Amino acid sequence: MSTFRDQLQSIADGAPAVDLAERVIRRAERRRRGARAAAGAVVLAVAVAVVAAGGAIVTGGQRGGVITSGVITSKVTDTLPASGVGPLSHAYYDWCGEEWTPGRNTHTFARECAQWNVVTRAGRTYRMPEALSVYTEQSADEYMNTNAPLVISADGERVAYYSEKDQAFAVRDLHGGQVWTVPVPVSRAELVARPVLLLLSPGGTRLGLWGGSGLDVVVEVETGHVTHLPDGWHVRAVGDAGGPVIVTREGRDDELGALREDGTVRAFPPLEDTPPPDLGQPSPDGRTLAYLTGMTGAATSTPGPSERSTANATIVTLDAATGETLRRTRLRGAPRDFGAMRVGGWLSRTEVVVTEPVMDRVPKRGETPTLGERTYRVDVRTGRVRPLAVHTFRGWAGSLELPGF
Amino acid sequence: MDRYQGFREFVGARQQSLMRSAYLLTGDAHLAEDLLQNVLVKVARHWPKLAGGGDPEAYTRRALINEHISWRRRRRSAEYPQEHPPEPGHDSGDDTLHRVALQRALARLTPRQRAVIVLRFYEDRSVEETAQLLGCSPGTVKSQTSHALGRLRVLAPDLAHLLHDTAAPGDAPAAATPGAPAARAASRAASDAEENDR
Repeated sequence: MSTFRDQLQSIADGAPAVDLAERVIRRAERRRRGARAAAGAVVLAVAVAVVAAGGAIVTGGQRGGVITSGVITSKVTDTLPASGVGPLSHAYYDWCGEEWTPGRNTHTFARECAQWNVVTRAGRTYRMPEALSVYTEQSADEYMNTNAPLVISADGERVAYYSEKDQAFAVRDLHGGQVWTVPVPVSRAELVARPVLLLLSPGGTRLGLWGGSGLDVVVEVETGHVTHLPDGWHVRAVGDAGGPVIVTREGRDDELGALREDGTVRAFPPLEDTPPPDLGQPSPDGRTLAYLTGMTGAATSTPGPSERSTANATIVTLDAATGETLRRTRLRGAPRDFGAMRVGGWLSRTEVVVTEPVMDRVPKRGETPTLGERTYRVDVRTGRVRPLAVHTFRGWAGSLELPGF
Repeated sequence: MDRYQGFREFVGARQQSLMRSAYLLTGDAHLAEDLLQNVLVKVARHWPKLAGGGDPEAYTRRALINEHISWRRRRRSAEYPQEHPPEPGHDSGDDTLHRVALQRALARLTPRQRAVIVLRFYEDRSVEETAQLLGCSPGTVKSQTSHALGRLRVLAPDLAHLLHDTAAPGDAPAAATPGAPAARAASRAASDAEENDR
């Protein structure tokens, strides 16, 4: 018969394997640098506070947004503080929770409630007015290109977004408050005309841009150094400094390669899987890439009973330098309706995060639908799948972004 | 000089054990990882001092408990961005049922009560060690232990048989059967403690 201690041990056995040293050191270093910078800014901050206090009552700290049972409403009143914000769990916008009809009422959403909201892991929700969200001038024909992109680094500590004020993308460190403007001008009109894909490295130190008119670059966030990709290649995944830049050939999603230091591309052998899989971020050591394949009926856009099958679902790892397949492992322990296809960042040396849209049921008449993403952790060695989190919001349309995707 | 010399090795050797405690404290894999990461960032900042004569593991464990208590106090459970906890594993039988029941019951204890349970019955620490880690008196540890066990008995009556072996010498007497006056009293006391803890 098991004892109380046995049961506690058994629960503790469910703790996932972690590999935290490098992530922790990176965070500690950032905080150390941030503290030094903050010390220099104290005098200025005090002056600003004195001026502010003269004109307004200073309220007692930030209050989080409303999150009930994981469902977020659109009542977010706090704006993102200048610094001291913890890692993010996700970001979303929801068209104010109202029905959106492309071409008919898009122009009515130049409102605060249609801005990007960011949610910290501790559950606080803030509006982010400096990040452009919906294109209120967008035409009905371009309804698939509805918002400026926003991405979160896998560690949740940095966010990349479009700053209309600067007519450029920017990366912000949430704890330290530093903002780096990407020295590649992109006008709002260009974004509205052609979507841009942002790819932020796991630690948010490099940013890849793909889209627009010949916009194929990788930017070192803190130095502003820009690397242009060779003609005919687009960026597909980016590692932190020293890590790989994975590229894909124009018009051929199944042809991948790694950018060499001399600016040329080392083409990978053809992928074994079709259709071309959705590639995740490089592993923390920059050596491995992962993708999911072999699921049928996954991630369909139709709510209700699906015809998904995970019988052949497989997690595949590739050598990030050569493209050689390292391992193919069948998934095990996945729920029957598992439909994740997108792979994001790595939780440890062996586990990646995968996600699928939340499509639980068709809403009742008069009810606002619940949208969002359900995440799982997948061990690339054993194929074991375990539920991780569910992030949702109520709305008829919108977008939800997760760290590392 | 590398200010983190030896830190990587320390984390490599101890992170899994710390993670297990963090998981028991939070009941959630994601939160456990966040909790441990936050604590290790603090440890990293003080590493040169700790490595030069301190006791990094004791410091880390104390920080883990304190961070857990202050963390949980700062937020309401409704603010967790998770709709439901991770599914249990796929093994079956009574043990699984007990584990799930215990996990749910633990989630309803106050942070301090949960910390006491983890320190006393998972990490096998004495009353004195637990008191030192929690920064309270041995008497408080005993009463918190008693309240926590009493509350577990009320929250998960099916687990009463598991708790037979938990009466440690010197602990305050705990209720024996669910629904008994002592159990109800323990439950009331636990609720009071819960309110005080929030």
